[in-house]
Amino acid sequence: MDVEESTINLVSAEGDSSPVPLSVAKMSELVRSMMDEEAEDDDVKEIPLPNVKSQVLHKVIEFCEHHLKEPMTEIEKPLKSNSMSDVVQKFYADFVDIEQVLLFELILAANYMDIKPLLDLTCATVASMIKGKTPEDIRTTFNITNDFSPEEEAQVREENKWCEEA
Amino acid sequence: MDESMSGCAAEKDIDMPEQDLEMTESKTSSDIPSSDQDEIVLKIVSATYGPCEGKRLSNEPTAKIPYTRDVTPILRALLQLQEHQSTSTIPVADSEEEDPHLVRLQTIAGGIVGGMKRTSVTIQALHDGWNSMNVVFGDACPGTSKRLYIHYLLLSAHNTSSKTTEVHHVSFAEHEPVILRSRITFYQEDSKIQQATERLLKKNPKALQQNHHSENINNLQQHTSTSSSIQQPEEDEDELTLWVARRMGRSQSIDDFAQLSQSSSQDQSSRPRLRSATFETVLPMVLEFLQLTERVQCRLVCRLWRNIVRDWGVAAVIDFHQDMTRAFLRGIVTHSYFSLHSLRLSDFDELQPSDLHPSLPHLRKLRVLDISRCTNLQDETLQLVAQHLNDTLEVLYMKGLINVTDVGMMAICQACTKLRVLEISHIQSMTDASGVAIGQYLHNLRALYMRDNFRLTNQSIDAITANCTKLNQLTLWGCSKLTRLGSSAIRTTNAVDVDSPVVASTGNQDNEIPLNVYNQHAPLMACAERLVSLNLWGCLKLGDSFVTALEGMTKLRSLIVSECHKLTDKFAIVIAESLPQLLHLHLRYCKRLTDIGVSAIARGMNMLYSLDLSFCSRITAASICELLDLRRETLSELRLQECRQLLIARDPDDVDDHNNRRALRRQQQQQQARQSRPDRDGQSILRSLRSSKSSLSMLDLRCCGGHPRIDTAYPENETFVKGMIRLGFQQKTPGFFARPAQWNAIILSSALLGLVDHRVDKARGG
Repeated sequence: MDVEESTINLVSAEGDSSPVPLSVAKMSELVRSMMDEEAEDDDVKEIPLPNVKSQVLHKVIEFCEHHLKEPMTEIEKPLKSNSMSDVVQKFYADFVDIEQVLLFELILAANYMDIKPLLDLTCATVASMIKGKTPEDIRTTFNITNDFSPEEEAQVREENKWCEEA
Repeated sequence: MDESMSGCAAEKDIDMPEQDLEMTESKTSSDIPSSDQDEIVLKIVSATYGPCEGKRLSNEPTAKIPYTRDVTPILRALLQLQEHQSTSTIPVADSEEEDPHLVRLQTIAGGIVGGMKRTSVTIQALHDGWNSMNVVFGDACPGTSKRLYIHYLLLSAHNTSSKTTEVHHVSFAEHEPVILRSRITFYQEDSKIQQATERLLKKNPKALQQNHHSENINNLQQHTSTSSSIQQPEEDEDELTLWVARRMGRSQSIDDFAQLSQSSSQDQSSRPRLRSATFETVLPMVLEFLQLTERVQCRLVCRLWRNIVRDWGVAAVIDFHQDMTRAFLRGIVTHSYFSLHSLRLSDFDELQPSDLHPSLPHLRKLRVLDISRCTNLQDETLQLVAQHLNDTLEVLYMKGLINVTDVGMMAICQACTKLRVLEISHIQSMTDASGVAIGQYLHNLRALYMRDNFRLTNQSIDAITANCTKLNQLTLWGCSKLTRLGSSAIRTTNAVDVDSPVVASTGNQDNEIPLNVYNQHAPLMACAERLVSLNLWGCLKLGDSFVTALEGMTKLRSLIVSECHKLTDKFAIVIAESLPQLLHLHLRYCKRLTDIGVSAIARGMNMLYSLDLSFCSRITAASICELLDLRRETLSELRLQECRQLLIARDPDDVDDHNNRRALRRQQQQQQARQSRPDRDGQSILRSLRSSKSSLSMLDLRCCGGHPRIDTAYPENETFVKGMIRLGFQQKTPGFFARPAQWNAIILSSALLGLVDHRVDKARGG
């Protein structure tokens, strides 16, 4: 494995090209399948990712590179803690300690590029922001307006009763 | 999907004696090589498969040891095989050389799907094609519900050279997927810090988070957690759901992205508001990481969230447990219309039809329904199931629904043609109308369990054996009206030559036989080639001639013909030749059987693992010793209860408490022998066990000669008992001798043979 690993260029929505080692790029099932389609072409290739902005793509690559060195622990379902540092290694907990918009963009990028560990990490992070919170807290966290009428809200509460009693 | 609802895989922490822990620690330190990579080693300490009736959630093996099978070696082998196949970097032989008890789990990136570090293992062979564990381990206790009890250790070594050991005691129901998990582990050795941290975490989860930023307990940062679901089988709805969610998300995400980016750039001053499409994509995936109550709570956030939760459901699996109320059941089912795939309500006594009926029309994905012994349910429930679940239902257990009749049964048969597993024991009012309907409609059945469906006759069983071509497990327990098995119609002619010499199937499966030509070698049952397990306990009218129906059963591993009183040595001689691959054979109460039959079995069945000859009172030590000698490499369990001719020990009382004439005569007959060598057969058995390295690990000698009462043990000072103890046996139950499983390569390969075949077949088929 000492042979210099070939690289591939991932091209972001803005058209920026990032050279990435094959092993890193192949963590994305999307990239993997695109490469399988164009097999037997040894030249350096470009994979266009028109849905992924440069800022997000850099985060994705950072994740993949680290994951090859220190695989992320699988995340337990359901989450046992609302702190990600209780759930995954420090690098990954720090990795998702980011602005909410970027976090959601990462989810959509992980989803689009089909990178299961990243998708799990980011979705679990959102779950940790919901876990143990009241509906009002959740609305505040995600900047959501309560659009229930009082009657509707009362009805939902009534429908939820079975679960509170258990 | 929902841990909190899954009662069956309940896991219990058990305080392990310190001594044991020390032992395993010292073992691990030498076993685990220093490596740059983190490594997890799994050690199966013990695994037993045995009855659990009435102890649904208990994790302790029951006291009824005679019916519990030690399956530790096969479980270890299955894991070794599985790891070897999936990673192809760990040769089985190597692992075995170091310590067969350890299974190294590949944790290096790229070795596993997605490159994840793994913290749970699913044992694939036990969740393959709806097999019951009976197919894998053999049925040690026919007729009762069974569980697999596993005691395992998880040893983790990390690049910081720290290590941890976890002790697990878990149990699984016979149809449940077996998943071995790890708990939260901490990456340091000091157990005091670890305990303190756990306490802290329990008290105040946030405290730990805050402390992270201070340097003084940076040790605590790196602890890892566990996963509760990994590598679900392909068919698993959870995975499918997630997959669909992701695909859908992908197709939407182009728009989403543009929008999301815009909004974030536009609203830099104020906080951005996420688009609803974003939540529609993300929330379903997020819900998977939340607990049931938290998912339900999400309904209160806003209309969109309420709708998303409604459309995705809050639970995929519901397992009845003691604390479950009817209101809770109604609630959880109502909120899981689109997610629920397994509803297991066995023994929910209070369950009323009104708890279930309103929801049945809305369940979109229900695949497994267990309503065994929910005795308030009647035909109407089955009719609703037939009407609304016919598209999805694959597994239906309804053992002991005493109020169900042909009406409900017919409805199920006619509609639920996708059924693969059907359990209808003790539905006593069921007649041939239902039985024939099973054969007529349920062609996809893999397993059919019928016990004490007294009214069924040849007509039903003929229909089933002629049409259910895919069956691999068939139980016809107590079909006392059955006079033959299999229909000669399959042979394209009505003539059956029951006395013709039986020839082992030549594998001739030529389907283009001209009509009206009698093909003597064609199987009598359509499923003959697939059957793995056949239970005919108490089909009392079956005579020797039924043996022709067993022709062509090249995959049969387990045959139970206990209480088929008419069977004689002739039957034994024929199956010894035609079913040489049998692992498990039960001939309890076949009182006509003599040494001739046993001897034939001893010579013919060279893979035999367990043999039950209890109450076969004509058998003597001659054939038993031949059996022990010839089958020393494979025979592990031998049951000889009430084989009175075997003189095992000196009878302390010498006079039986049932002082009837027959007993007296028998005693007189045996008197001479007793006077000279009252325990001569015990000595012969000991000699057989000693002379060759016998694999025998379980010997039931209750109520044999010299053991008058079932509740008293053979005396410790008996020569036989001393000899057995020297061979490692213990008399745990009076009259019953057991020692740890003595598995060898031959047993293992024969036990794994069918399973590997199965996998290959499946791969070819797929």
